[in-house]
Amino acid sequence: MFTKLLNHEILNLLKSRRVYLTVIMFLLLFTTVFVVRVLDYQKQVNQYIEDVKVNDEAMANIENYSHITPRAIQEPILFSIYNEGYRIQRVINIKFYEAIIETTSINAERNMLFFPDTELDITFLITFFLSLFILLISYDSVNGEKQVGTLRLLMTYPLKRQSFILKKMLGVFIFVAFVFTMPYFLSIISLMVIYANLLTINFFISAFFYWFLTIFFILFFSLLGIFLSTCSKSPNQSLVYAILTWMVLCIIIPISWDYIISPSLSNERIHQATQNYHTYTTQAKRAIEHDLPDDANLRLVPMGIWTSSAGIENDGIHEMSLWGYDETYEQSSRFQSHLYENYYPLIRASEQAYDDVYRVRINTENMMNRVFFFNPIVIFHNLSMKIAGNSRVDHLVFLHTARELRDDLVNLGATEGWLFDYRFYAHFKEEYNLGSREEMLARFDGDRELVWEYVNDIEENAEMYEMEVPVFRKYEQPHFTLAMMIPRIFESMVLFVGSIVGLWVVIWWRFLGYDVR
Amino acid sequence: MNQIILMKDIRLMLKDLKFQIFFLILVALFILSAISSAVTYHSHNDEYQADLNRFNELVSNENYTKLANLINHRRLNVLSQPSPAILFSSYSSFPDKINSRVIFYSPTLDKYGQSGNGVFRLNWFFILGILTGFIMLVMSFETISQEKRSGTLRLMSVYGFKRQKILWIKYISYMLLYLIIIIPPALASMILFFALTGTWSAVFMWKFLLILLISIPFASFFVWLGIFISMGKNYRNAIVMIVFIWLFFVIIVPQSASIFGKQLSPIKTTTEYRQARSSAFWDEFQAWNEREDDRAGSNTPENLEIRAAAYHTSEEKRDVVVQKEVEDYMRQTMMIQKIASISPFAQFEMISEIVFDKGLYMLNYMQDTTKRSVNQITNLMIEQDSRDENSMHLFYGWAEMDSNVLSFFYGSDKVAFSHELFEQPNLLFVTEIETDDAWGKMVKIMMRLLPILILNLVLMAGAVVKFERLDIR
Repeated sequence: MFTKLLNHEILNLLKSRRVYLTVIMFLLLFTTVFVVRVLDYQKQVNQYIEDVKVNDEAMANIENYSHITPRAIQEPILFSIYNEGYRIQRVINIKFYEAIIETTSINAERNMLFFPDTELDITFLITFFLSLFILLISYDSVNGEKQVGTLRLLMTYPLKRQSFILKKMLGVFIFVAFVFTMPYFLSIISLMVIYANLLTINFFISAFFYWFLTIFFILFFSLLGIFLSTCSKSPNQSLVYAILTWMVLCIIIPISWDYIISPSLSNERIHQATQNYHTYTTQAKRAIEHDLPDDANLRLVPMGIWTSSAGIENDGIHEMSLWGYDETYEQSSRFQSHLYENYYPLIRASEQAYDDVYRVRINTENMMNRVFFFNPIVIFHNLSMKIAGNSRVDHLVFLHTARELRDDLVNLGATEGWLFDYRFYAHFKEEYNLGSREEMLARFDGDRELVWEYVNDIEENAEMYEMEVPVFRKYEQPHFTLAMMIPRIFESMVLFVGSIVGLWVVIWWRFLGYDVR
Repeated sequence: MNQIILMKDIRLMLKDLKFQIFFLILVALFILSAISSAVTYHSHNDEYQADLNRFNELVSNENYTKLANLINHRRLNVLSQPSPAILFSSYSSFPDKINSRVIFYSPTLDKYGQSGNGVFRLNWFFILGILTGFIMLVMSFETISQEKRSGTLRLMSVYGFKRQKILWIKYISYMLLYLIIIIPPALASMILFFALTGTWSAVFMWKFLLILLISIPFASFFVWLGIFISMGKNYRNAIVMIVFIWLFFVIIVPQSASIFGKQLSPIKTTTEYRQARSSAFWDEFQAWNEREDDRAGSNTPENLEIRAAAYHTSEEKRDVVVQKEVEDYMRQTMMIQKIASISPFAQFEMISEIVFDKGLYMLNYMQDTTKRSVNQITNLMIEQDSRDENSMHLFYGWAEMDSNVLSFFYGSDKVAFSHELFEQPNLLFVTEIETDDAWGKMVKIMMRLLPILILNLVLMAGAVVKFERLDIR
């Protein structure tokens, strides 16, 4: 009897024009969004390949140690087709003298006049469209039957109320789950064919958990639709309830959180953390500009052969392509030692403070999950980012990796000594050491023009210093295994399952006392 | 008799549960949007004040406004001030700040606050532009079908009512209903926002009232659409239909506009632009060097004049490339806007940009202002430099660096470009941006309103014709 009713329910859904229309729309949207996202991903892959090429070329052409600016480049995540996640640029330029707090882009197409707020991915399709479509399919599942009289008829059969409501729920659930699963798996298979060489275990883990999560999501909304259809006698009224519920869950709660609750909860802490960040940055700036001891102050070194147009005054970056006076070399060594002891600890502290801002945001996001545990849209949105591997947490991991690379570089320089000697800035071979300014002037009988010509001549014709670039470990994409994925999503999943069970109990209880006449 | 039916219609609608719930939601949303916009306004205003303070600090530093330093190292800032317009929309897709070199228009652009990933924002545009369209659709999608089902339509035709009249009464009652659910909460929201931010201004009050007035044809469009759909046979299928229509206009068109716009009007990558700029400069500079026996590359005193001319011309060449780059960006932006304007919602936002001096409309004027300021400052700098006896009057980017060489190697007192302080440093920070006058704005608004008015007429004609032929039994 139960199977028969279930079959009947699904067949009924299949025959309904409303459902038919809905499914066609969903499939059309899924295909469109998928194709658009694949095209976008392909663009990102091309940019990534270009970025790596640019980086390799730059690393091959470096002329001295101060020019070593490796980049941490993040490979585009294949699963971002389904969830765009926290959007960032994927390149970090690692410079000796800069705190690593943000990512940049090398080959990205960036329209600087327009910053569109787009979020067209499969996750948006599920949270926004699928939720509405499930409600539109199921809003009259109980009271519709009551209106035409079949509910009363069914209750005269030896069929338990629990079985009836279960088959209603299963009917909608199985149908929608099938409608989602079919294009989803087809899309996964097509990606496996197109990007066979880019497939990693991450992709499969993400794909499985994403599907699993969506199934729960569908289950929740199937239950919700049935619940709403028991809340009112007329299907027209339950339709209004369904649309309102959807608006509240999908639009009003998320935007109220984003623009009212979240700022009032976290603005103060973010402000504090930002203040700390600025304090450390200012201290670091002081350490490099004002608190320099005289013997490490590059500004006291005579001008001339420093390519110091980008000197200390402008932006704190010291880039000198020509190695020259002994005193210059001495001074720069002391300058580097001063930085190593006083400046690096401060930029690390400023990086930590910057991370604190991130952590406050991450905590607020997690808090949102807990507060709105009953809202599957919020939970799905946050969980799917964690599943795809492009959440704020993952961005922090990316920043940390880049910082580790920078620290390795600096520490290597300290242990091998080149950070504190002429090799850091050396451009031309040691034999071109020009001596001090006075010696130079004396050598050319005080004729400044001759000095200048000599220096120009060296700049044009001298042999470059041949340096061995230290080998740095390459940046690798973080991989997460099954054991890493489960703790990521455990808490939210428990809340999600809890809310589904709660909703099921409410429906059960409600339908037991439902007036079927 | 007409009046009686109209009153009956309105009374019935007011009693409708749908109306009551929607009204409550709108009240809540209008109040929440005032609070949320006030929060955003404060944070943007803090950022603006910080920019202002930073600038004041900079100009009090003598080194900053030294004329020679202005040429190459300093930036001109043009800012659109945060205003109560934020209650209507944050216009976060467009920059609020233009930052350019002082002597060439080479902009970098930025905006207040962080860019979010959200599609929806809590503000008037979301309520008036997106939500009320949907609400008017849901309210009106069973207008005719309901009357037909209950037999009242047949009854009315028996009484000798003209069909057109019935339709008009329905339409007018929905529009009155629209005003009832919108105006009181919107006014409350506006007053709350002004109170929370302390930004009371009569101008903005009129602007908000104007935007409420402009929203009427948009609501009317959805009312006609709802009435049209309600004449279909299966009104339950119609709900799927209307949801799809709404989603199409609200989400699909604006969201895909940026994706398709980028495909139809592509721009180059940042690396390609950088290379183009760099090669435009160096190709010209090399050409000068070849023509002038490498004198452009030398900074000895006798070559400085050639060097200055070479450098400046090369910069002008680079400037041409930068202009082209900005044109590419603008072309793409316009393409995206054109595609988006298929949606009445996007049209509505574009009209509001004109009303509030924000968004793409403002961006164009900000660019013009920046270009004008660049020319003005350049002329003033050259004029001030001409009065300096120590200056060699060489106006080019390396002037300061070459002045150092002059003094170090040649012990010269002369500098390539004046070391005096710029007399009008306030010009470096522009916040007053002139846009169209009221008449000009009105014309532009009418041009944008025209399509939606035509759509209204078309839908109205369609509904009237369909209703005339409708089988009301």
